[in-house]
Amino acid sequence: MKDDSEIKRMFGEISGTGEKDSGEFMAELDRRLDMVEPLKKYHDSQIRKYRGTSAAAFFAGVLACAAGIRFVLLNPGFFRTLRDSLLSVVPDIPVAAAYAVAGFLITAVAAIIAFPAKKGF
Amino acid sequence: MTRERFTELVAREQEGLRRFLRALCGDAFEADDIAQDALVKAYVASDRYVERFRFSTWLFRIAYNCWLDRQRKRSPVRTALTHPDAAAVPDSVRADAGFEYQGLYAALSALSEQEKTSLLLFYMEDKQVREIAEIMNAREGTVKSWLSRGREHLKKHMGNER
Repeated sequence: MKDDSEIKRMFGEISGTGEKDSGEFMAELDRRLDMVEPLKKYHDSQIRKYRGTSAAAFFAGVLACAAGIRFVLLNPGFFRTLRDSLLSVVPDIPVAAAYAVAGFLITAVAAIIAFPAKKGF
Repeated sequence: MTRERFTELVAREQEGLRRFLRALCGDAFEADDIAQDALVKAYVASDRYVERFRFSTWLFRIAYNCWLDRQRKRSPVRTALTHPDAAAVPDSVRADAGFEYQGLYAALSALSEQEKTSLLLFYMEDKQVREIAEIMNAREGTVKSWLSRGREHLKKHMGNER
């Protein structure tokens, strides 16, 4: 039966690393890093692009909301008139639901435009 | 992180990382291959490295995941053996002429993956329980339990050997 300190000593004595010495290992790593350098550049540029797009989308959202709120505050009668006119044309459609669907579709289209599918490296 | 900085940090850590992988997979050639794979992945993702982790913890975590991926791609038979009779030295261990610690490796090969990994990180690499938990993506309490059970199993297997 081995006690804790003996286990520690036993593990501490293990000194072997890998097949190659440190110099050979680092040289091999350097060679592999050369090979993946274009991939890293592409990867980094994609991250920068997505970060930039996210920030732009965030600020565009804030501006659009501010503009919308300003419009509603300055034109209180507009939505009442719009609702009345819609109901007069298609009285069976719940206007609130139509707004929600339209809002969802606009957001989805904006997201697809802002974040296009990855085409691969 | 620049390539020069990455290489400088790796040069400091590579020995411990390779020693850990060699003990984990029992094959020096495979250990180096996993280490190279892990370091390349780390380099590609180095811009996402967060300072919350120590660099060595981050590297060990990537390397451990690379090793796990390889284990999963292989036959599950070797990793599922838990019966004491399964303590026979695996072929890869026997084939490695450089091994000087056959008894210890044989005993380790009888432990579960989690017990073996946590013991190696704790005793061989002097990692704290918190760091081991980060590397293995587990809770500290779970790591303590693996360490405790691993110690008991190791003592048992090393005792049987004599």
